[in-house]
Amino acid sequence: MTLGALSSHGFWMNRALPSIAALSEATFPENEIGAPDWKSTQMLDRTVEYLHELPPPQRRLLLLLFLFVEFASIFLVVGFRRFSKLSALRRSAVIRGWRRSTFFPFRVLGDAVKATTTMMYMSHPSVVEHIGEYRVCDWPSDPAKIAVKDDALTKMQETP
Amino acid sequence: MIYGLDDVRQGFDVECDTVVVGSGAGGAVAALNLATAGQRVVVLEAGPRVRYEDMTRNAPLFLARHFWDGGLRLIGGTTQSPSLQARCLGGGTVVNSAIMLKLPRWVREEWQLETGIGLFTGPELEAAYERVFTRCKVSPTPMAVLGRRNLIVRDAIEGKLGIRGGPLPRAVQGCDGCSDCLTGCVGGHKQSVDRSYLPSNEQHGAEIYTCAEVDGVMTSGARAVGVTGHVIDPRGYRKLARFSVRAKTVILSAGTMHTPVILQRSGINPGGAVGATMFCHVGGGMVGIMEEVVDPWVGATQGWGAISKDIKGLKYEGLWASPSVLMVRWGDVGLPFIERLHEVKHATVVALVYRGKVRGTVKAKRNGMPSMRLWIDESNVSPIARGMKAAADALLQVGARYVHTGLPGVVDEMRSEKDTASLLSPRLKAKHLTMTLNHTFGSCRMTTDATGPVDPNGKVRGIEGLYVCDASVFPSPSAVNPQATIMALADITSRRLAELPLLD
Repeated sequence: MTLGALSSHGFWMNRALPSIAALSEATFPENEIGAPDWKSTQMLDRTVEYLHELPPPQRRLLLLLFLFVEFASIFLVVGFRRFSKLSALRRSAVIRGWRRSTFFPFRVLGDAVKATTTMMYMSHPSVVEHIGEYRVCDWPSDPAKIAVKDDALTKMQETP
Repeated sequence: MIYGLDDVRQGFDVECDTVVVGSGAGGAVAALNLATAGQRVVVLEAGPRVRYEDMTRNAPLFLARHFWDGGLRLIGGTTQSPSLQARCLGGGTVVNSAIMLKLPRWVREEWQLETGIGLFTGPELEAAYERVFTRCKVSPTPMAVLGRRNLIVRDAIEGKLGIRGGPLPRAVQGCDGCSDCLTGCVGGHKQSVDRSYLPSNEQHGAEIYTCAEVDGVMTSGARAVGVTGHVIDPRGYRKLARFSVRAKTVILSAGTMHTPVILQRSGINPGGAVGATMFCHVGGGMVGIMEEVVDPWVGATQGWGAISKDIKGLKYEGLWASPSVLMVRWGDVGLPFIERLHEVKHATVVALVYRGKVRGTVKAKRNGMPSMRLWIDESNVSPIARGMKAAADALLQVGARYVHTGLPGVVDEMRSEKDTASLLSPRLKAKHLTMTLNHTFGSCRMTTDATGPVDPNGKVRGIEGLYVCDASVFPSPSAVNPQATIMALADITSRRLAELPLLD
């Protein structure tokens, strides 16, 4: 989904979209190792869908997080640029720096960003498939399709 | 009868003998005893019913729909720690790993000494455990469903550290080891109270209202006469209508975080002690990346555990959850994270649960939600760090290529004992501990004197007809998973109310 297609989500959500996209790209960039990236896992529209599922206070809190990252970067990151205007590599480095900071609020900020994007990324079926995850019991009604190997436990017991 | 959103959308006003607020471990047990005794019982649950078709392995969506604060609840204080608290019919029993451990003898004795309540060491508690265990079909996790991940933890903790453990006793019958406890048991094997207690409640005539969030207790003089609240749309969180339930007895089983808030909002705060305390189990976790393929998603979620001999109050257990939840703090960001994704199938996780020195509070926010603060004493760091080092060394000895804790200042990929020694660094402080604080207790402590707001019969001091049946009443942390003790204490309190015998 493009930013334009998502523009009907309200004023603050629209302001947060560039930040969500920039964070998603920084945390799960395109790569040459064959792993799904932020685009193929539809991080942007899935994050928006997730935000709409949350209770209003938590939705506002996450929107605030995304907006803070976007605009506070002007003052927090060398270069006086909005977060989404930094290169993807620079954005990754910034998040990594926050997570490793000795300053507690920065660590909280970095961890919150990492947690939110990781939840979205890891729950995408292509990532589930990429890491080799499967289940031993079928769940036909689940829209999140995960491969089933119902004999896995038996085989595991047979393996020394 | 279970009423869903469509049944209660317009609000309701009912009368009964006893209203039970909360349908989780405490509420379901209490309601059944009273319904069995012939009382007209109403159970109110803020969340929706989790039906088979609502379950999904898309963990973020499931959490957003069935957990308080959409699964993003945080406890502030020393650090910002997530706390997963279910908001659905059956409460935490629907989404936990169903571990049923009795209070260790030394905790029972400590509780008795601390509070002067003989019940904790008496035969009544043991009898209550047995009743609960029988109904929930508690049995040790079968070896056949432990999976490789739990067996590696066993080999490390028992084989290398010499701490004797075993398959954890759980309220599960016929577990198929699908490792999905957090998002509800799709196979219906977990004996959560929506399977083990609430159907019997219905058979005995109890009326169960979902999507009904209680705001406060109605009183007349010094007597509770019911509760009021609003019907809430579980998806949009809109308040749809008001409801009231008039009752001779009110039982609060809304959990450690919500029970004190309901009392505070009702102006009931004997001795100022409601929410003035709160405790949590603290601890940590580590990921061992093994040489072999582990397929950690196969096997009981928390199938094997052991209680440390050297460090009092420390429990080790094997753990797994959806990677989308488990990996939120795991590893780096960007390409370095993506490059390590192939290692997930080699992972095994050891969780440490510690009964340490903590103090906390619960206060009602203006929007009616609880605000929790927890201060973790620095004295907790050393035992947790020693426990983590021991477990990390043991994992390396059983073939882990490296061990990762995610703790700041600790070697990121520990590959030797020299690396794991970084866990003992004096620079590691309580604020650095990364953990999920799911076991919370003691916000309305049960005591014989007035230091706690609840008396030894489970009654709120100064208010007739108002009782608490959840982990709020624990005098201090339980050292083990609290579900069995919540149910046993609720069983005792409600049997007294129903005038049923405590000893079979």
